[in-house]
Amino acid sequence: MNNRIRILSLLLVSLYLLPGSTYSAPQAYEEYAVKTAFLYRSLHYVEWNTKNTDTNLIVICTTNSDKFSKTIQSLHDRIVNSRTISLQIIASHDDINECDVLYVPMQKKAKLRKILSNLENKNILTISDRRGFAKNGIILNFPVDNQKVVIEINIDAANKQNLRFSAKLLRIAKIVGN
Amino acid sequence: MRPYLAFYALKSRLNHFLTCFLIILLPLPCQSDDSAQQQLSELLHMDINELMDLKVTLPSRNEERQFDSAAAVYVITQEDIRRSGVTKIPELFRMVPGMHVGQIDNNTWAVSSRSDLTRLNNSMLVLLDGRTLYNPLFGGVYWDVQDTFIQDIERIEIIRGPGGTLWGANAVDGIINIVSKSANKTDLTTLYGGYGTADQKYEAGIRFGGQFKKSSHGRIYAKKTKSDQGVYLDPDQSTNDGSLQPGSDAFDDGTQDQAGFRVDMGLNTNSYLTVQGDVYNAEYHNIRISQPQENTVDAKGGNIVVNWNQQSAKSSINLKFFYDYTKRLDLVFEEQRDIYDLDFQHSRTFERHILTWGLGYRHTSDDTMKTDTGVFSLNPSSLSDDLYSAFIQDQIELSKELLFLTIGSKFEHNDYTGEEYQPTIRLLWKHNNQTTMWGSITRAVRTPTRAELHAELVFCDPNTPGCVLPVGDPDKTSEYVIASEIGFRSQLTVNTLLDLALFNNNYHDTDETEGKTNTHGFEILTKYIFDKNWRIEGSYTYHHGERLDNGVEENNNAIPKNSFHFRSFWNFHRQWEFDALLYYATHIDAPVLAPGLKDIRRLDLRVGWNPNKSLRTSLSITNVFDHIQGEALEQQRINTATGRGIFFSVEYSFN
Repeated sequence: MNNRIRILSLLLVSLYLLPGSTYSAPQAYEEYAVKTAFLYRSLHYVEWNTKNTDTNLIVICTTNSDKFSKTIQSLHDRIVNSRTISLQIIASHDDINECDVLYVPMQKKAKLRKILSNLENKNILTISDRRGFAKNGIILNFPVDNQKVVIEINIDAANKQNLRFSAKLLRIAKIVGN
Repeated sequence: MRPYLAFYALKSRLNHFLTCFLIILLPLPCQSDDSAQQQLSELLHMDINELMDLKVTLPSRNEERQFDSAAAVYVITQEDIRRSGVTKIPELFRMVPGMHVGQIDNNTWAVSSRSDLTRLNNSMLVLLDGRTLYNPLFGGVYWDVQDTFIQDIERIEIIRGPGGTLWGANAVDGIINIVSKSANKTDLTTLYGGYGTADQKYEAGIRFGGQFKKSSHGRIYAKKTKSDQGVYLDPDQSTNDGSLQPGSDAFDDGTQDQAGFRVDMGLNTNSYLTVQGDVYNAEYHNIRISQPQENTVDAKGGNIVVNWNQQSAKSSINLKFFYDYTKRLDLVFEEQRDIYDLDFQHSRTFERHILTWGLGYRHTSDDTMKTDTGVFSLNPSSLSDDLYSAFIQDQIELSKELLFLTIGSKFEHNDYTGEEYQPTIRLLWKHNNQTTMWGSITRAVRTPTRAELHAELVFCDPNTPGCVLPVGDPDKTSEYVIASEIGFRSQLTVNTLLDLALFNNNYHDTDETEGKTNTHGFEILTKYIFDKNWRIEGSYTYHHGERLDNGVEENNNAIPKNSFHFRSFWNFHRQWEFDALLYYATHIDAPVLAPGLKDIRRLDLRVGWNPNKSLRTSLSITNVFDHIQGEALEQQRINTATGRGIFFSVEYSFN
């Protein structure tokens, strides 16, 4: 019967010694850290039309309400295309005139519609991370699909806000309409 | 509101640590601020294409629903395991409300939930990554050989009560589900070693983990443990008749060598394959009541588990196969067993329904032999049997995000008792995000063990008339329990959690010959966070059992009536931890075998020093009170106990 143990051990060892094994750093990343990195990279590929382009700042407005909004805050003072990111914590979504980027956390559909209707033609990039939010009018959305973060862009909403994305970003993003 | 919504609402009110703590309660993976920051700065340097390939850690469906589950669930996290200082898996269950743990000798335990504290407790279903650890010969679990690389356990889910249709037969009084980490969470080399005078004399292990190919991770481990000796007890506290000097070292030490691996492979975007396995070789000693007293158990085993999973937004499919081989020889009996098991499960979400169904097949074959010195034997000595099962369950959202009804049944066919059915009905009411109530009624079945069916005692040449005494009953039928439970869970304040469960179990023999048994009781658990550096939890359990034999009611006192546990986790410095576990349980009544059993009072203390991310050290003092007392008895064995012990361990991890 020791044969079975031997066969099992051999099986175990041979499975592990499959060609191409290399060791590397830990690979399971914290969800919101990955989303924040996605946001940071994506900002490199966005063109705002008017407003703050000459002020050397990108103002990200966020609430302080959930884990994503808190992780986003660590982007403060980082540089994107020679503009500095400045974080602004907002109490309500009416308070948005300074914003270039606006984080919209989980909302009821009706509330979301109301927030978005206040933004018309303000040249603001709305971001979120909820499944289906791009379809509901959020311009740049980072939901998780099969354990990977994906980028969704609502191109109609972007056009309304007069925002342009580079081809590189559009190529990898999932484009949705209203 | 959906569970994650509840989560967000809570988060908005809590700082990171509180969130982390709640995550432990709920429980979801949690990371310290430091490691999250470090990850973030690493991630911010990545190109967008690299980011596209990253896998993120997510709460599984199961974990997400812990707070909202309609059953009495407790989860032991890796953090709980590490900070308990415990080196043997069954000792971990002392921290679980409603669970009873009795050490019989230094490598034998009785573990039960809401039922008799006996080693051969055959009403618990114990699983490790989907592989059943239940031994169908005597029932119960050979806890001595159940081990793994303990740092790689992600969590242990414990369900008191029959759980439900997703679990198979013999999940009558509880389920222990040990879940190890996916290989993508163990991409490190970890070395550890420990030495002391507690249960364990020494242990050492190494695990290599890494990534190979694009989305495949693997790990391999090896470990060696040597358990220490306990001491003999006074005759009034043990089955020792006094011939073995109380207080002297007992013949109950052991060694075990074990190695194993796990590979997790992403096959495409929504399916993955896990292949894992272990081999072990162990030698344990114990003391028999009759001659020869000093008994040596030689145990070997191996297993392989293959698990394929495919998930999409609305459905998930799981196909699992395992093979398990065990060989166990001692001076009186030899047993060898092969188990092949194949399970299929499919779950699909409809608008207001989550429908889950599955099929299973298990083939078991054993080969046993009485040795020259033994008397216990099986007739037939070798046997193969097949078990077919199917289940279906529907979770219905009766009222949107408020009221959930789960109904289902498991159906089985086995070679001995034929068809068995095990229906359940469960109702969950989510009052709000902080408070849930649940109730359930379940019928669960315990099928007879092979020994109950086929055991015989052979005193002399089996061909001589009168030498063989059959003790098993080949026509024995199943026992079933009707279990009713209700529970209440509430996040009373941002830093207080309360979890209460009440149950009433009525056990019946299907032929109603052996009378009825009733057990009932409740378990209450509370957790409290003072601040980010100190949290505590405590539980109280009341269990009562009655047996109705021939119309006469009598107490069933093999269940500890009152038990209590208290735990404290205190980070008294950035690098230092101080932890305590206080455990109390009423002794079981054994007026004939051991009239002097005392209540179990036990305090374990631990100091941890983690000077940096890769080095962890820990010093534990177990059984601080040095109460040397019998905890559980077994008729065939002489029980021993372990006094105060000290254990020091070091763990070092690197890339």
